[in-house]
Amino acid sequence: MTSARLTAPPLDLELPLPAGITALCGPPGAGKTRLLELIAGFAAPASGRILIDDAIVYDAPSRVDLPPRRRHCALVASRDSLFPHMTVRQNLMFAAGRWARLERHKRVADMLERFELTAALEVRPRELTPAQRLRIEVARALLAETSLLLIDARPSVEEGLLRILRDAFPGPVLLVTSDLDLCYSAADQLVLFAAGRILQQGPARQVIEHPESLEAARLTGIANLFPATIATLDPGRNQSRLACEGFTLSGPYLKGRLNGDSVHVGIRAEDVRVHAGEMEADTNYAPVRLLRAIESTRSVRLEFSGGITAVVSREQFARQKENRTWQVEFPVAALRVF
Amino acid sequence: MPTDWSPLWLSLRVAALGTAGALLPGLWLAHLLTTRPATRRVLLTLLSLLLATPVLILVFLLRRAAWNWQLASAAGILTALPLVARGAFSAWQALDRPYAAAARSLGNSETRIFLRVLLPLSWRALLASIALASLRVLVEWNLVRAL
Repeated sequence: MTSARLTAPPLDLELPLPAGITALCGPPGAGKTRLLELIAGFAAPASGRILIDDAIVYDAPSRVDLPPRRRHCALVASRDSLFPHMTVRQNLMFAAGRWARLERHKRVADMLERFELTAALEVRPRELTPAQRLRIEVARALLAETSLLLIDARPSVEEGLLRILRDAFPGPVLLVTSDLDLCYSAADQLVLFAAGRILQQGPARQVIEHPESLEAARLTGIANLFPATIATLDPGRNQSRLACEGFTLSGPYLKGRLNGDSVHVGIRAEDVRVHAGEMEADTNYAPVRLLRAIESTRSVRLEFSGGITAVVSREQFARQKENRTWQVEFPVAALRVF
Repeated sequence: MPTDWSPLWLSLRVAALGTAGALLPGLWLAHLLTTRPATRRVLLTLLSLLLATPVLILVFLLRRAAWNWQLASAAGILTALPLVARGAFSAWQALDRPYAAAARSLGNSETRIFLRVLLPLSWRALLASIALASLRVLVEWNLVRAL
Protein backbone atom coordinates (compact mmCIF):
# COMPACT_ATOMS: atom_id res chain seq x y z
CA MET A 1 0.00 0.00 0.00
CA THR A 2 0.94 3.62 -0.37
CA SER A 3 0.14 6.11 2.35
CA ALA A 4 1.46 9.19 4.09
CA ARG A 5 0.94 10.11 7.70
CA LEU A 6 2.88 13.19 8.57
CA THR A 7 3.12 16.42 10.47
CA ALA A 8 5.15 19.32 9.17
CA PRO A 9 3.54 22.47 10.57
CA PRO A 10 1.09 23.60 9.40
CA LEU A 11 0.54 20.21 7.74
CA ASP A 12 -1.00 17.40 9.78
CA LEU A 13 -2.66 14.58 7.90
CA GLU A 14 -3.12 10.92 7.21
CA LEU A 15 -3.59 10.10 3.57
CA PRO A 16 -3.95 6.58 2.18
CA LEU A 17 -3.43 6.47 -1.59
CA PRO A 18 -5.24 3.62 -3.35
CA ALA A 19 -4.41 2.73 -6.96
CA GLY A 20 -6.04 5.10 -9.43
CA ILE A 21 -6.23 8.86 -9.63
CA THR A 22 -6.62 10.78 -6.38
CA ALA A 23 -7.27 14.48 -6.87
CA LEU A 24 -6.09 16.93 -4.22
CA CYS A 25 -8.11 20.11 -4.13
CA GLY A 26 -7.57 23.11 -1.91
CA PRO A 27 -7.27 26.88 -1.83
CA PRO A 28 -3.92 28.51 -2.68
CA GLY A 29 -1.56 28.35 0.29
CA ALA A 30 -3.17 25.22 1.73
CA GLY A 31 0.15 23.35 1.49
CA LYS A 32 -0.54 21.15 -1.55
CA THR A 33 2.85 21.64 -3.20
CA ARG A 34 4.56 21.20 0.16
CA LEU A 35 2.74 17.92 0.70
CA LEU A 36 3.99 16.63 -2.66
CA GLU A 37 7.54 17.74 -1.83
CA LEU A 38 7.38 15.95 1.52
CA ILE A 39 6.21 12.73 -0.10
CA ALA A 40 8.81 12.97 -2.88
CA GLY A 41 11.57 13.62 -0.35
CA PHE A 42 12.50 17.20 -1.22
CA ALA A 43 11.60 18.35 2.28
CA ALA A 44 11.49 16.52 5.60
CA PRO A 45 8.39 16.37 7.81
CA ALA A 46 8.64 16.89 11.57
CA SER A 47 7.20 13.46 12.29
CA GLY A 48 5.24 10.69 10.65
CA ARG A 49 5.69 7.82 8.25
CA ILE A 50 5.50 7.55 4.48
CA LEU A 51 5.00 4.21 2.76
CA ILE A 52 5.36 3.81 -0.98
CA ASP A 53 4.32 0.44 -2.32
CA ASP A 54 4.83 -1.18 1.11
CA ALA A 55 8.36 0.22 1.44
CA ILE A 56 9.04 2.67 4.23
CA VAL A 57 10.64 5.74 2.65
CA TYR A 58 10.27 7.98 5.68
CA ASP A 59 9.81 7.08 9.30
CA ALA A 60 10.56 9.61 12.00
CA PRO A 61 11.00 7.25 15.03
CA SER A 62 13.47 4.95 13.25
CA ARG A 63 15.09 7.83 11.33
CA VAL A 64 14.51 6.37 7.91
CA ASP A 65 14.63 9.15 5.32
CA LEU A 66 15.38 7.93 1.81
CA PRO A 67 16.64 10.53 -0.68
CA PRO A 68 14.28 11.41 -3.58
CA ARG A 69 16.10 9.19 -6.06
CA ARG A 70 15.52 6.06 -3.99
CA ARG A 71 11.83 6.61 -3.28
CA HIS A 72 10.43 5.36 -6.61
CA CYS A 73 8.16 8.33 -6.54
CA ALA A 74 8.18 10.66 -9.55
CA LEU A 75 7.19 14.27 -9.05
CA VAL A 76 5.89 16.27 -12.01
CA ALA A 77 6.33 19.76 -10.57
CA SER A 78 4.21 22.78 -11.37
CA ARG A 79 7.12 24.22 -13.35
CA ASP A 80 8.03 22.69 -16.67
CA SER A 81 11.02 20.41 -16.09
CA LEU A 82 11.74 18.73 -19.42
CA PHE A 83 15.46 19.06 -20.09
CA PRO A 84 15.62 21.85 -22.68
CA HIS A 85 18.90 20.67 -24.25
CA MET A 86 17.51 17.23 -25.12
CA THR A 87 14.92 16.22 -27.69
CA VAL A 88 11.73 14.48 -26.64
CA ARG A 89 13.32 11.10 -27.39
CA GLN A 90 16.46 11.94 -25.41
CA ASN A 91 14.37 13.10 -22.46
CA LEU A 92 12.56 9.78 -22.41
CA MET A 93 15.78 7.81 -22.96
CA PHE A 94 17.34 9.60 -20.01
CA ALA A 95 14.60 8.32 -17.72
CA ALA A 96 14.83 4.78 -19.12
CA GLY A 97 18.59 4.70 -18.48
CA ARG A 98 18.53 1.61 -16.26
CA TRP A 99 17.44 -0.73 -19.09
CA ALA A 100 19.67 -2.36 -21.67
CA ARG A 101 19.80 -0.57 -25.03
CA LEU A 102 17.26 -2.68 -26.92
CA GLU A 103 14.79 -2.82 -24.04
CA ARG A 104 15.17 0.95 -23.59
CA HIS A 105 14.25 1.64 -27.20
CA LYS A 106 11.28 -0.69 -26.98
CA ARG A 107 9.94 0.90 -23.82
CA VAL A 108 10.37 4.45 -25.13
CA ALA A 109 8.63 3.58 -28.40
CA ASP A 110 5.80 1.95 -26.48
CA MET A 111 5.37 4.97 -24.21
CA LEU A 112 5.45 7.40 -27.16
CA GLU A 113 2.67 5.49 -28.82
CA ARG A 114 0.55 5.29 -25.68
CA PHE A 115 0.82 9.02 -25.08
CA GLU A 116 0.28 9.85 -28.78
CA LEU A 117 3.64 11.60 -29.05
CA THR A 118 5.26 9.82 -32.01
CA ALA A 119 5.08 12.99 -34.15
CA ALA A 120 7.03 15.00 -31.58
CA LEU A 121 9.94 12.57 -31.32
CA GLU A 122 12.87 14.62 -32.58
CA VAL A 123 11.84 18.12 -31.50
CA ARG A 124 13.00 20.09 -28.52
CA PRO A 125 10.50 20.65 -25.69
CA ARG A 126 10.24 24.41 -26.27
CA GLU A 127 8.66 23.84 -29.68
CA LEU A 128 5.71 21.97 -28.14
CA THR A 129 2.50 23.13 -26.51
CA PRO A 130 2.19 23.03 -22.69
CA ALA A 131 -0.25 20.10 -22.94
CA GLN A 132 2.24 18.08 -25.03
CA ARG A 133 5.08 18.94 -22.67
CA LEU A 134 3.04 17.71 -19.74
CA ARG A 135 2.33 14.44 -21.56
CA ILE A 136 6.05 13.95 -22.14
CA GLU A 137 6.81 14.67 -18.50
CA VAL A 138 4.26 12.11 -17.39
CA ALA A 139 5.58 9.56 -19.91
CA ARG A 140 9.12 10.25 -18.69
CA ALA A 141 8.06 9.68 -15.09
CA LEU A 142 6.44 6.35 -15.99
CA LEU A 143 9.57 5.22 -17.86
CA ALA A 144 11.55 5.62 -14.64
CA GLU A 145 9.51 2.73 -13.19
CA THR A 146 7.88 4.84 -10.54
CA SER A 147 5.59 3.35 -7.90
CA LEU A 148 3.77 6.59 -7.16
CA LEU A 149 3.19 9.52 -9.48
CA LEU A 150 2.71 13.02 -8.08
CA ILE A 151 1.46 15.75 -10.41
CA ASP A 152 1.44 19.31 -9.11
CA ALA A 153 -1.05 21.93 -10.30
CA ARG A 154 -0.75 22.32 -14.07
CA PRO A 155 -3.30 24.26 -16.12
CA SER A 156 -2.81 21.85 -19.02
CA VAL A 157 -3.97 18.68 -17.25
CA GLU A 158 -6.84 17.37 -19.35
CA GLU A 159 -9.16 14.43 -19.33
CA GLY A 160 -7.43 12.73 -22.27
CA LEU A 161 -4.12 12.62 -20.42
CA LEU A 162 -5.73 11.13 -17.32
CA ARG A 163 -7.46 8.48 -19.42
CA ILE A 164 -4.15 7.42 -21.00
CA LEU A 165 -2.47 7.54 -17.61
CA ARG A 166 -5.10 5.26 -16.12
CA ASP A 167 -4.37 2.64 -18.82
CA ALA A 168 -0.60 3.03 -18.71
CA PHE A 169 -0.02 3.11 -14.96
CA PRO A 170 -1.54 0.71 -12.43
CA GLY A 171 -0.28 2.49 -9.31
CA PRO A 172 -1.55 5.48 -7.37
CA VAL A 173 -1.50 8.99 -8.86
CA LEU A 174 -1.85 12.07 -6.68
CA LEU A 175 -2.96 15.03 -8.77
CA VAL A 176 -3.21 18.61 -7.52
CA THR A 177 -5.95 20.45 -9.35
CA SER A 178 -8.62 23.04 -8.78
CA ASP A 179 -10.74 21.84 -11.70
CA LEU A 180 -13.78 20.21 -10.10
CA ASP A 181 -15.24 19.20 -13.46
CA LEU A 182 -12.06 17.28 -14.18
CA CYS A 183 -12.23 15.64 -10.72
CA TYR A 184 -15.81 14.66 -11.36
CA SER A 185 -15.14 13.13 -14.78
CA ALA A 186 -11.69 11.61 -14.36
CA ALA A 187 -10.65 11.20 -10.71
CA ASP A 188 -11.43 8.17 -8.57
CA GLN A 189 -10.84 9.76 -5.20
CA LEU A 190 -11.02 13.36 -4.12
CA VAL A 191 -9.26 14.88 -1.13
CA LEU A 192 -10.36 18.31 0.01
CA PHE A 193 -7.50 20.05 1.70
CA ALA A 194 -7.28 23.39 3.53
CA ALA A 195 -4.73 24.96 5.88
CA GLY A 196 -2.67 21.76 6.02
CA ARG A 197 -5.55 19.50 7.01
CA ILE A 198 -7.82 17.11 5.14
CA LEU A 199 -11.43 18.30 5.27
CA GLN A 200 -12.98 15.38 3.51
CA GLN A 201 -11.87 12.46 1.38
CA GLY A 202 -13.69 9.78 -0.54
CA PRO A 203 -14.93 8.85 -4.00
CA ALA A 204 -14.73 12.00 -6.13
CA ARG A 205 -18.37 12.22 -7.15
CA GLN A 206 -19.64 11.57 -3.66
CA VAL A 207 -17.41 14.27 -2.16
CA ILE A 208 -18.47 16.83 -4.76
CA GLU A 209 -22.16 16.02 -4.40
CA HIS A 210 -22.20 15.68 -0.63
CA PRO A 211 -19.73 18.00 1.06
CA GLU A 212 -19.84 17.46 4.82
CA SER A 213 -18.70 20.79 6.18
CA LEU A 214 -18.88 24.48 5.42
CA GLU A 215 -15.26 24.62 4.20
CA ALA A 216 -15.80 21.54 2.06
CA ALA A 217 -18.91 23.17 0.60
CA ARG A 218 -16.91 26.28 -0.27
CA LEU A 219 -14.21 24.19 -1.95
CA THR A 220 -16.71 22.17 -3.96
CA GLY A 221 -18.06 25.37 -5.45
CA ILE A 222 -21.36 25.84 -3.60
CA ALA A 223 -21.84 29.52 -4.31
CA ASN A 224 -24.71 30.24 -1.92
CA LEU A 225 -23.95 29.73 1.77
CA PHE A 226 -26.14 31.51 4.30
CA PRO A 227 -26.02 31.53 8.09
CA ALA A 228 -29.34 30.35 9.49
CA THR A 229 -31.05 29.51 12.76
CA ILE A 230 -33.23 26.44 13.21
CA ALA A 231 -36.73 27.78 13.92
CA THR A 232 -38.67 24.51 14.14
CA LEU A 233 -37.91 20.83 13.80
CA ASP A 234 -40.65 18.35 12.89
CA PRO A 235 -39.42 14.74 12.85
CA GLY A 236 -42.98 13.46 12.20
CA ARG A 237 -43.22 15.18 8.85
CA ASN A 238 -39.47 15.02 8.22
CA GLN A 239 -39.30 18.80 8.04
CA SER A 240 -37.44 21.71 9.48
CA ARG A 241 -37.83 25.42 9.20
CA LEU A 242 -34.74 27.58 8.95
CA ALA A 243 -34.64 31.33 9.49
CA CYS A 244 -32.14 33.13 7.27
CA GLU A 245 -31.63 36.85 7.03
CA GLY A 246 -34.53 38.14 4.95
CA PHE A 247 -36.23 34.81 4.18
CA THR A 248 -37.20 31.47 5.70
CA LEU A 249 -36.51 28.05 4.27
CA SER A 250 -38.23 24.77 4.64
CA GLY A 251 -35.78 21.91 4.66
CA PRO A 252 -35.54 18.25 5.57
CA TYR A 253 -35.50 17.16 9.23
CA LEU A 254 -32.04 17.68 10.73
CA LYS A 255 -30.95 14.76 12.86
CA GLY A 256 -28.95 15.61 15.95
CA ARG A 257 -29.75 19.32 15.92
CA LEU A 258 -31.82 21.40 18.31
CA ASN A 259 -34.17 24.31 17.90
CA GLY A 260 -32.20 27.54 17.94
CA ASP A 261 -28.97 25.98 16.64
CA SER A 262 -26.92 28.10 14.28
CA VAL A 263 -26.21 26.35 11.02
CA HIS A 264 -25.25 27.17 7.45
CA VAL A 265 -27.49 26.48 4.49
CA GLY A 266 -25.92 25.89 1.10
CA ILE A 267 -27.32 25.65 -2.39
CA ARG A 268 -25.52 25.47 -5.72
CA ALA A 269 -25.95 28.42 -8.06
CA GLU A 270 -27.27 26.00 -10.73
CA ASP A 271 -30.03 24.80 -8.38
CA VAL A 272 -31.46 28.22 -7.55
CA ARG A 273 -34.58 28.92 -9.61
CA VAL A 274 -35.21 32.43 -10.83
CA HIS A 275 -38.71 33.88 -11.33
CA ALA A 276 -40.14 37.18 -12.43
CA GLY A 277 -42.70 39.19 -10.53
CA GLU A 278 -43.20 40.77 -7.20
CA MET A 279 -44.52 38.80 -4.28
CA GLU A 280 -44.32 38.63 -0.55
CA ALA A 281 -41.42 36.72 0.94
CA ASP A 282 -42.67 33.17 1.32
CA THR A 283 -41.06 29.95 2.50
CA ASN A 284 -38.22 29.07 0.13
CA TYR A 285 -38.86 32.20 -1.90
CA ALA A 286 -37.11 35.53 -1.55
CA PRO A 287 -37.63 38.81 -3.37
CA VAL A 288 -34.29 40.05 -4.67
CA ARG A 289 -32.69 42.83 -6.66
CA LEU A 290 -30.47 41.95 -9.62
CA LEU A 291 -27.04 43.50 -9.14
CA ARG A 292 -25.10 42.07 -12.03
CA ALA A 293 -25.46 39.57 -14.87
CA ILE A 294 -22.27 37.96 -16.12
CA GLU A 295 -22.73 36.25 -19.47
CA SER A 296 -20.55 33.37 -20.60
CA THR A 297 -20.74 31.20 -23.70
CA ARG A 298 -23.31 28.76 -22.37
CA SER A 299 -24.88 30.26 -19.27
CA VAL A 300 -25.47 33.50 -17.41
CA ARG A 301 -24.44 34.05 -13.82
CA LEU A 302 -26.85 36.32 -11.96
CA GLU A 303 -25.74 38.05 -8.80
CA PHE A 304 -28.58 39.23 -6.58
CA SER A 305 -28.84 41.30 -3.44
CA GLY A 306 -28.19 39.38 -0.24
CA GLY A 307 -25.22 37.55 -1.78
CA ILE A 308 -27.43 35.13 -3.74
CA THR A 309 -26.00 33.76 -6.98
CA ALA A 310 -27.88 31.83 -9.64
CA VAL A 311 -26.82 30.35 -12.95
CA VAL A 312 -29.41 30.19 -15.73
CA SER A 313 -29.25 29.19 -19.36
CA ARG A 314 -28.81 31.93 -21.96
CA GLU A 315 -32.29 31.23 -23.30
CA GLN A 316 -33.90 31.70 -19.93
CA PHE A 317 -31.97 34.89 -19.36
CA ALA A 318 -33.04 36.21 -22.79
CA ARG A 319 -36.69 35.65 -21.76
CA GLN A 320 -36.28 37.23 -18.35
CA LYS A 321 -33.77 40.01 -18.76
CA GLU A 322 -36.46 42.68 -19.03
CA ASN A 323 -37.85 41.70 -15.60
CA ARG A 324 -38.53 44.69 -13.40
CA THR A 325 -38.65 42.61 -10.25
CA TRP A 326 -37.06 39.29 -9.40
CA GLN A 327 -37.50 36.52 -6.94
CA VAL A 328 -35.50 33.38 -6.32
CA GLU A 329 -36.70 29.98 -5.22
CA PHE A 330 -34.65 27.50 -3.21
CA PRO A 331 -35.96 23.99 -3.99
CA VAL A 332 -36.11 21.87 -0.83
CA ALA A 333 -34.34 18.93 -2.43
CA ALA A 334 -31.30 21.03 -3.34
CA LEU A 335 -30.76 22.51 0.12
CA ARG A 336 -27.81 21.35 2.18
CA VAL A 337 -27.34 22.14 5.84
CA PHE A 338 -23.94 22.18 7.55
CA MET B 1 64.36 45.95 -32.57
CA PRO B 2 62.61 42.64 -31.92
CA THR B 3 59.57 42.89 -29.62
CA ASP B 4 59.98 41.24 -26.22
CA TRP B 5 56.86 39.11 -25.75
CA SER B 6 57.98 37.51 -22.48
CA PRO B 7 55.94 39.78 -20.12
CA LEU B 8 52.78 38.85 -22.03
CA TRP B 9 53.55 35.13 -21.87
CA LEU B 10 54.36 35.41 -18.19
CA SER B 11 51.09 37.25 -17.46
CA LEU B 12 49.08 34.72 -19.43
CA ARG B 13 50.86 31.84 -17.75
CA VAL B 14 50.08 33.17 -14.25
CA ALA B 15 46.45 33.84 -15.19
CA ALA B 16 45.99 30.43 -16.81
CA LEU B 17 47.65 28.50 -13.97
CA GLY B 18 45.76 30.42 -11.30
CA THR B 19 42.41 29.81 -12.98
CA ALA B 20 43.16 26.18 -13.78
CA GLY B 21 44.10 25.58 -10.16
CA ALA B 22 40.90 27.23 -8.96
CA LEU B 23 38.70 25.25 -11.32
CA LEU B 24 38.27 21.97 -9.44
CA PRO B 25 38.03 23.38 -5.89
CA GLY B 26 35.76 26.13 -7.22
CA LEU B 27 33.35 23.69 -8.84
CA TRP B 28 33.44 21.51 -5.74
CA LEU B 29 32.58 24.52 -3.55
CA ALA B 30 29.75 25.42 -5.95
CA HIS B 31 28.43 21.86 -5.67
CA LEU B 32 28.49 22.12 -1.86
CA LEU B 33 26.69 25.46 -2.04
CA THR B 34 23.98 24.03 -4.29
CA THR B 35 23.35 20.77 -2.46
CA ARG B 36 23.94 21.72 1.20
CA PRO B 37 21.87 24.72 2.22
CA ALA B 38 23.07 24.37 5.83
CA THR B 39 26.64 25.48 5.07
CA ARG B 40 25.64 27.97 2.38
CA ARG B 41 25.73 31.10 4.50
CA VAL B 42 29.17 30.50 5.99
CA LEU B 43 30.68 29.51 2.66
CA LEU B 44 29.22 32.49 0.83
CA THR B 45 30.56 34.86 3.50
CA LEU B 46 34.04 33.35 3.26
CA LEU B 47 33.94 33.59 -0.52
CA SER B 48 32.82 37.22 -0.35
CA LEU B 49 35.70 38.02 2.00
CA LEU B 50 38.09 36.34 -0.41
CA LEU B 51 36.56 38.32 -3.27
CA ALA B 52 37.16 41.56 -1.37
CA THR B 53 40.81 40.69 -0.65
CA PRO B 54 43.46 41.41 -3.30
CA VAL B 55 45.29 38.14 -2.51
CA LEU B 56 47.94 38.45 -5.20
CA ILE B 57 48.93 41.95 -4.11
CA LEU B 58 48.96 40.98 -0.42
CA VAL B 59 51.15 37.95 -1.04
CA PHE B 60 53.53 40.11 -3.08
CA LEU B 61 53.76 42.70 -0.31
CA LEU B 62 54.33 40.03 2.36
CA ARG B 63 56.71 37.76 0.45
CA ARG B 64 58.46 40.29 -1.76
CA ALA B 65 61.85 38.59 -1.27
CA ALA B 66 60.71 35.16 -2.50
CA TRP B 67 58.44 36.50 -5.26
CA ASN B 68 58.39 34.49 -8.49
CA TRP B 69 55.78 33.42 -11.00
CA GLN B 70 55.14 30.08 -9.26
CA LEU B 71 54.16 31.84 -6.04
CA ALA B 72 52.09 34.29 -8.07
CA SER B 73 50.20 31.42 -9.70
CA ALA B 74 49.52 29.86 -6.29
CA ALA B 75 48.16 33.18 -5.05
CA GLY B 76 46.25 33.43 -8.34
CA ILE B 77 44.31 30.29 -7.38
CA LEU B 78 42.89 32.09 -4.33
CA THR B 79 42.21 35.16 -6.47
CA ALA B 80 40.22 33.18 -9.04
CA LEU B 81 38.46 30.82 -6.59
CA PRO B 82 35.55 33.04 -5.42
CA LEU B 83 34.62 34.05 -8.96
CA VAL B 84 34.62 30.46 -10.25
CA ALA B 85 32.68 29.16 -7.24
CA ARG B 86 30.07 31.92 -7.16
CA GLY B 87 29.60 31.88 -10.93
CA ALA B 88 29.03 28.13 -11.01
CA PHE B 89 26.80 28.31 -7.93
CA SER B 90 24.45 30.89 -9.40
CA ALA B 91 24.24 28.92 -12.67
CA TRP B 92 23.47 25.65 -10.89
CA GLN B 93 21.12 27.16 -8.35
CA ALA B 94 18.86 28.36 -11.15
CA LEU B 95 18.86 24.86 -12.65
CA ASP B 96 18.51 22.91 -9.40
CA ARG B 97 14.80 23.27 -8.73
CA PRO B 98 13.32 22.52 -12.12
CA TYR B 99 15.84 20.16 -13.71
CA ALA B 100 18.08 18.56 -11.10
CA ALA B 101 15.10 17.91 -8.81
CA ALA B 102 13.16 16.27 -11.65
CA ALA B 103 16.15 14.10 -12.51
CA ARG B 104 16.54 13.12 -8.84
CA SER B 105 12.91 12.08 -8.58
CA LEU B 106 13.42 9.96 -11.73
CA GLY B 107 15.99 7.99 -9.73
CA ASN B 108 19.30 9.32 -11.11
CA SER B 109 22.57 9.64 -9.22
CA GLU B 110 24.14 13.04 -8.57
CA THR B 111 27.05 12.20 -10.92
CA ARG B 112 24.72 11.35 -13.78
CA ILE B 113 22.68 14.50 -13.13
CA PHE B 114 25.86 16.59 -13.13
CA LEU B 115 27.23 15.13 -16.35
CA ARG B 116 24.00 14.81 -18.34
CA VAL B 117 21.92 17.73 -17.08
CA LEU B 118 23.79 20.40 -15.14
CA LEU B 119 26.97 20.57 -17.21
CA PRO B 120 25.32 20.72 -20.67
CA LEU B 121 22.89 23.37 -19.47
CA SER B 122 25.44 25.54 -17.68
CA TRP B 123 28.69 25.37 -19.69
CA ARG B 124 28.24 28.86 -21.15
CA ALA B 125 27.77 30.39 -17.71
CA LEU B 126 30.74 28.37 -16.43
CA LEU B 127 32.98 29.60 -19.27
CA ALA B 128 31.92 33.17 -18.54
CA SER B 129 32.87 32.91 -14.87
CA ILE B 130 36.17 31.23 -15.75
CA ALA B 131 36.96 34.07 -18.16
CA LEU B 132 36.09 36.61 -15.50
CA ALA B 133 38.27 34.81 -12.93
CA SER B 134 41.32 34.72 -15.21
CA LEU B 135 40.82 38.39 -16.03
CA ARG B 136 40.93 39.16 -12.32
CA VAL B 137 44.21 37.28 -11.88
CA LEU B 138 45.63 39.04 -14.92
CA VAL B 139 44.69 42.49 -13.66
CA GLU B 140 46.13 41.86 -10.17
CA TRP B 141 49.32 40.39 -11.60
CA ASN B 142 49.81 43.44 -13.76
CA LEU B 143 49.22 45.73 -10.78
CA VAL B 144 51.93 43.84 -8.90
CA ARG B 145 54.30 44.27 -11.83
CA ALA B 146 53.64 48.01 -11.76
CA LEU B 147 54.45 48.24 -8.04
